[in-house]
Amino acid sequence: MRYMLTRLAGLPLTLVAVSLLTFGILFLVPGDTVDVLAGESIADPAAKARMAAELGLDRPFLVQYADWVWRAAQGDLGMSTSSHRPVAELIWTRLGVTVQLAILGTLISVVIGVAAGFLALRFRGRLIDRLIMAWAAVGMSIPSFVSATLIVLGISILLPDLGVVSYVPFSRDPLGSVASLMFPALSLAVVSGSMFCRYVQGAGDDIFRNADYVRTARAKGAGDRRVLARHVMPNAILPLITVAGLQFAQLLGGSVIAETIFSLPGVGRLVITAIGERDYPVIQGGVLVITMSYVLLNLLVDMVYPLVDPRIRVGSNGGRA
Amino acid sequence: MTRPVLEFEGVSKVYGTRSAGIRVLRDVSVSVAAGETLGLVGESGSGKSTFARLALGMEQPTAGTVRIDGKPTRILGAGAGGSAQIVFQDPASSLNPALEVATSVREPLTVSKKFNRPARDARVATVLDDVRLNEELRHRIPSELSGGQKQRASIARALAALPPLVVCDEAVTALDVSVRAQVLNLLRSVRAEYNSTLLFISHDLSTVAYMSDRIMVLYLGKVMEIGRTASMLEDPAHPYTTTLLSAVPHMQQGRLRRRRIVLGGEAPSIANPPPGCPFSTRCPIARDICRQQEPPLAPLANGNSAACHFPHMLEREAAA
Amino acid sequence: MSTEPLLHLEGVAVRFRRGERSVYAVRDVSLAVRPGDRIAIIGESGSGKTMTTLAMLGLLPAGAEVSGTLSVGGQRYDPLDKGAVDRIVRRRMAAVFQDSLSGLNPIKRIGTQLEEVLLLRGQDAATARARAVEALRRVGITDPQMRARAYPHQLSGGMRQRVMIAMALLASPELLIADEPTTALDTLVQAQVIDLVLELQREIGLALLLITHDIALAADVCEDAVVMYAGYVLEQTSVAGLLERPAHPYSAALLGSMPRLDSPRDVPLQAITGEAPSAFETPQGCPFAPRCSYAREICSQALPPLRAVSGGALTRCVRIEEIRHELAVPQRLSA
Repeated sequence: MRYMLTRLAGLPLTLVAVSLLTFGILFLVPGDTVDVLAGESIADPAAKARMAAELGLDRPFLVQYADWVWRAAQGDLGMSTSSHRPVAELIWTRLGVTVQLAILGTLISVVIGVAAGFLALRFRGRLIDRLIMAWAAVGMSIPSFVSATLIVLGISILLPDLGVVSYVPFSRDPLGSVASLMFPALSLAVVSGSMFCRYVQGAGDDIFRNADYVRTARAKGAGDRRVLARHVMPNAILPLITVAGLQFAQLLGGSVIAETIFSLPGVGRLVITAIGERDYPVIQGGVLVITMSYVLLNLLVDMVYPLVDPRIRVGSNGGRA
Repeated sequence: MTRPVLEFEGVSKVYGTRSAGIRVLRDVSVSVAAGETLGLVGESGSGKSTFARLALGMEQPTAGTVRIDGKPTRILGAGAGGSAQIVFQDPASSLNPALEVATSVREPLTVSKKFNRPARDARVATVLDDVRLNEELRHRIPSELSGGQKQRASIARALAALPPLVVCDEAVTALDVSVRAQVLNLLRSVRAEYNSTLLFISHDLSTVAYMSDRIMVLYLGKVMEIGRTASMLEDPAHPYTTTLLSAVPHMQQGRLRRRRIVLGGEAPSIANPPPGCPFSTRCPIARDICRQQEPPLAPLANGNSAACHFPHMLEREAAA
Repeated sequence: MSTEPLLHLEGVAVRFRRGERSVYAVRDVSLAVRPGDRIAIIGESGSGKTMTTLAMLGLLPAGAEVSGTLSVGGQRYDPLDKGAVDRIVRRRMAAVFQDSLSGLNPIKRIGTQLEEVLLLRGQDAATARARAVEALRRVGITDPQMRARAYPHQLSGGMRQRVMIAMALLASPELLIADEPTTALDTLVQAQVIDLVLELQREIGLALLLITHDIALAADVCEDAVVMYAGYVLEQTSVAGLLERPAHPYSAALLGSMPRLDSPRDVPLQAITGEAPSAFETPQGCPFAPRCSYAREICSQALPPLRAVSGGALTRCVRIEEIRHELAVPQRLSA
């Protein structure tokens, strides 16, 4: 309990820091802020002054920041300078896609990673083990834009009749929705799945070879398969939960590449486009949403871990001096 | 009368808050004179580790004062400003695995600022001579040394800056049996040469008895008995002391043989100490008064002190 | 009753290859355990006692090579052959190891881990659960039903060790091997655990093999002793014989170096100089010679064979007849 409260206590500070920095982006941009926000250079000083007052840029930084935060909390993230629609609306319609992709990507990579790791352990030293670990090493080193591009290439070569698979919203057709995200999710899963695989294999191998409780299990008469399934894997996977949670959080923001290459209407792609168009309110809003989710998910993961590890969940009784 | 090197004055230590805290040490008072070795005996939960940490100034008492050479540890800070050093159970703990042994031994001298460069070199050479680590071994890193050699190096490091107080926390427990005697003999000889004051902690009663002038027995944070080694071994006053002594393997009891006293039950949790005497829940001779009134640490006829309503009774019964 | 010993080791050696070199953890051990025996294998680190134990139990780490014969009840087995170990060893031998915290799966409940012993032997789940609780009761754990639902870190060291003993007993062994079972425990808890082991041993008629570095403990618990050093057996004798008339300078030196409650405080302990040889070196002659105060040239010439001497002891000391009277420790040491 205390552990959870401590973690929660740090949250406000993090959120403030994140939002401050995000808001501050605008002012770090070269050029006059008024021009930047207006989207064009305003020559007439009077018009500029009027615009500045209108946009609230004549106020002190912290006041502007506070105002921005206050409005953001109410759901108002300003207006997009390129499309002139509310930023919040733009982000909201795209959030579902990004979240879906992140969930799918994480799920698939966990499944791939654990399964591959298990097989590598089960057939230690044999060909399968070596192949899997080789794949893992390569997979980890592939940047996601390469894996995504390769997959697109692969699809066009292997499944030329597939045509363009555009995103199907979940509410309209759940199964179709998942199917439409399969390839993008795979492109992400290749990379993180290999990381999980290495993780599971590394932790599992160490336990298999050195853990005293493995020796106890053997002394009871358990064979390799049982030792692996019941004693090694559960312990090896435990820390993976945290890692998977963080991975999910990262995919939320980092799936920009996959979204771009597969033309998915996600938040990442929105921000990238906005960067190209110098649409700062969108950039600010997008970055804010993504980073906030990351921080909150991080916290959530920390909260989940004690639930799974009995050593933290159930304290030991009695103290030792 | 020279000032004691280590003083505990009414020391209590509570972890946690006042209302919901765990009293790890309760009202402990003891003085250790220069050149004396105080042996500390106690099982898990007895508070002996906390006692050691307080003696080293690594923690501050919740109540009472700990003084080293007359100066309160509150002022001296952690490590008591170099006045207290420790030899750990695991020799690897006090030696930086990346540094040559001689360098590790020099470190406390550099920190203490009491020695200039030539004095430091001289001290390092001398103390390494005293622990009988030859020239070649001095320039090795810990992983290149055996357990016994590492422990000698730890002892050298502890003694280098001539600290008034040295805490030996299970200093020989992790060593092979055949090496233990070597290191114990070494401790005895440097102790004599430096007139060091030692706080000697070990769960092995025979070793504690051999090394210590006085022994303090802790149970659940309270001093059960404290006194001169010889008289405590011959005629222990507290039933807990008698029980511990009776549990020493026969071979090591020698002529101080006792019938084994078997205790019932489990050690009570330190978070929930029993009312009255903390040992009353397991004591073979516990009476009603023991469960109701906590016995104070009172002086005995033989000069020792014990916290018991019926001192010497179990011992006399067992001998009969 | 079969005349075959429960466990028989003959000339067992355990080797690990490290590239060009070999590490000999055990060089030559022979011993026989019969029903009801209480034998201690006494040795320091590097003596080979733990590897010998692991070889007996078929729990050797990867890369081990074993030579010599091991048999249980007359049936030979190869410790590296898991099938044979399962058939021959697991039926009749069980073990308790030193570190009960790391020896138990931290994320499984105690009860589950106990039940596993029975489930592996074909017992059904319900019976396994009941017997597990009963086993906890048998080893003196109060409120066994509740304790069975606990996780290892929730129990004290003494309780965990009892759990390990319960686990071993559930396998219905005829021989219990205990490897440093009490080293990590408090003095009084240690005594309790030992009491329990002895009580069970008497009640069930178990044979007990105690592996320890603590001669004093061995003397309290066992009737016979095997003293190991650098992978060899240096002396094999009864405990009484070991204490009164040791048949090897190493044993005598160990006995003499231990402080006792009545040791005079102003007299240094009889320390043994030097340290044990590493497993990489193959000693020339007697492995203890470099540290032995009785060593002569003959000691370093060839490895002394293990032979019988008066008093029923086996020893590898070439000079024992000459020096034995000097080794004899005074009467007051005997149990």
